[in-house]
Amino acid sequence: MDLITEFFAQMHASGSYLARWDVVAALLAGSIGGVLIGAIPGVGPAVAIAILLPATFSMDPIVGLTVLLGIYGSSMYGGSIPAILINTPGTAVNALTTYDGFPMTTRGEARRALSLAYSSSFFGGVFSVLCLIFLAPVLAAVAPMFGSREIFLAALLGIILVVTAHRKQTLIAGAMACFGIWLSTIGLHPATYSKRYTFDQGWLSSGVNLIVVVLGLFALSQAFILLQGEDEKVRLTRLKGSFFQGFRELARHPRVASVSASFGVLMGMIPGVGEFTAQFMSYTYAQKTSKRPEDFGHGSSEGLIASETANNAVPSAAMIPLLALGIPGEALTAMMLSVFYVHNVTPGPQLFQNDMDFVVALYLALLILNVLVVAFLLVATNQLIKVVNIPNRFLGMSILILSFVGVFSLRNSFTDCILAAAFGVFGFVLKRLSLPVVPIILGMVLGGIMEVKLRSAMARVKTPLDFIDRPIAAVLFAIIMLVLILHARRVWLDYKQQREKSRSTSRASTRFEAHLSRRNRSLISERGKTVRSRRKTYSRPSGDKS
Amino acid sequence: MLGFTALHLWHLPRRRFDRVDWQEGRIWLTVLEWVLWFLAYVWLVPLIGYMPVTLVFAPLLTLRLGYRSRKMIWLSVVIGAAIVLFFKAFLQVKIPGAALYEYLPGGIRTFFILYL
Repeated sequence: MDLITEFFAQMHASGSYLARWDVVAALLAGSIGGVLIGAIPGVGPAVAIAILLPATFSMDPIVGLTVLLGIYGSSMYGGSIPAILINTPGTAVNALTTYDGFPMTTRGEARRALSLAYSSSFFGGVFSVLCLIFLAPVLAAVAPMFGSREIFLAALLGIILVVTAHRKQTLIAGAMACFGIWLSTIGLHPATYSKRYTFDQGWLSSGVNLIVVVLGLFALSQAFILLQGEDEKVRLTRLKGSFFQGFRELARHPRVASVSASFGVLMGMIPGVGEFTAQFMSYTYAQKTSKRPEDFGHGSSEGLIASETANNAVPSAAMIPLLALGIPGEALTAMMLSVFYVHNVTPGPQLFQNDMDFVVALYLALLILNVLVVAFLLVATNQLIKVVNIPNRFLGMSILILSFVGVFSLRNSFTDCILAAAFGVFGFVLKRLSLPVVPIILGMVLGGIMEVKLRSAMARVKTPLDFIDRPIAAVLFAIIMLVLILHARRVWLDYKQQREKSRSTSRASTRFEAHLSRRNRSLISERGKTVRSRRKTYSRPSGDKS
Repeated sequence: MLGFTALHLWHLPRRRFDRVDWQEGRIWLTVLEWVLWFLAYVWLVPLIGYMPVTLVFAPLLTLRLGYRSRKMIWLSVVIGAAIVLFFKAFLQVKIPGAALYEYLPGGIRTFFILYL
């Protein structure tokens, strides 16, 4: 009972944060801007947040974070629009929506699909915010138990999870994460004043700024991709009628919606996992428990609910490791971390203990944001879908101009712009080769955190076992070992599967020489001999005379 | 980092350089043109001014991209102006006044340095 009374008192106190005109304006700008950005294929929330980041440094932390959170939370609503209407996901996480959304459009049920996507996204968003608001007191109790050792281990777990989440690309993801960690070490070390990897170059002594890297890898590389590509002709149909029916349909699938939202919350809380895993798990769950699993991928409403609910439940949950431990779990929250640093607010256990009003205000802002976005979409979808028609190359030009504001306003440095352009080309090459970019950013952010925490933790560590002698540290260490063991097992299974595949002849070359060489190998092998003798026994010519 | 990269390269299927690879390499090189556009823009802004350079750069790049319709050119000018006004005049981001603005008369000079 005390907990609830305390909670409502906190809500009341947080209300004062939100009752300011600049916060209200930030909420509106974030929600509407986020939907627009999401609805334009080719511009994701990462590009928008990277560009806006330096501009938010001059704002109050709550205002700046509300804008960025607004873009993060509402872009997925917008991203479902092109995913459903033209089979092109507006943001990367809406890719699964195309599986069931677009087939519904081809059946002439575009309005139903869109309204279902809005209502499931709304449910996912509100569910996760409510979970977090009620979890906040628990988090406030648990967060102080995290000392330097625990935060170091949690950051290490985050990096390991990010790397292992890139299935079939683990090695290069590991290399990228290490590259990010290396980038974070460049420059003059603040504690020891030693120069690291500066090669006596003045411009390197202040280090490589995270925002320069982020703008290069996300915004500029995306601009290059769009400028280099072709414009696509898009044909849109006008939607008639209301979008409210989705809520009624969603109410018929409460199990799928709530399980998917829970997956979203859980996966969002674990650093390094995020939307894709949450969507994959909830989609698989929905398909396995459905009465009509064969409909999945062909316009199943349950599939659409599962993917949209799961991805919208993640943003608010992703704020947990950021706010409670100061550990961002993905690229977008990593960018938001720099807003805290600029204002000398260090997210972590102290924030939960001393500034709970601020944390609850952020959650409430997220709640209001979801309502605003749905209200906007219910009214303005028909006008909004026109942004899908913006030509790609023209969009690339706009992003190039916008990227300049982001990089140049940071320190007014031409060197930063050259560095950002270099990272832009690097990001372009990585995207062309379909290699992961996110591990670089997380490596940079988590690498910096890990170094600081390891230094402060080592003061109390005498033997290696001291590192994990506290309960939470031990649990984190056990989880790290478990993740590594599971990953090793998966690699071994993949290797076995691949070996079997290479041995089977079904995919072997059909050239005549290859066929002869295979036959020759079989003739001289021991197994070949036994098989031939057995065949001889069973296919002996019959002695019957007809 | 090097170890992971080496392992990644070792795992890749081995084959000779193909015509497709050269084409891909050419695409990588074409990006350098956009990099030069970007750096030229960055270099000119502190000299001539954020607003004037953007108002010329946006339509020029639009023309280079192959858009010839009047609508697109004007749209690029409007977008360029909107970006400058939103970031420099409204959000007051730190973009210094240009060297050229120094030659403007008193009141207009301050206005240009602060807002354009």
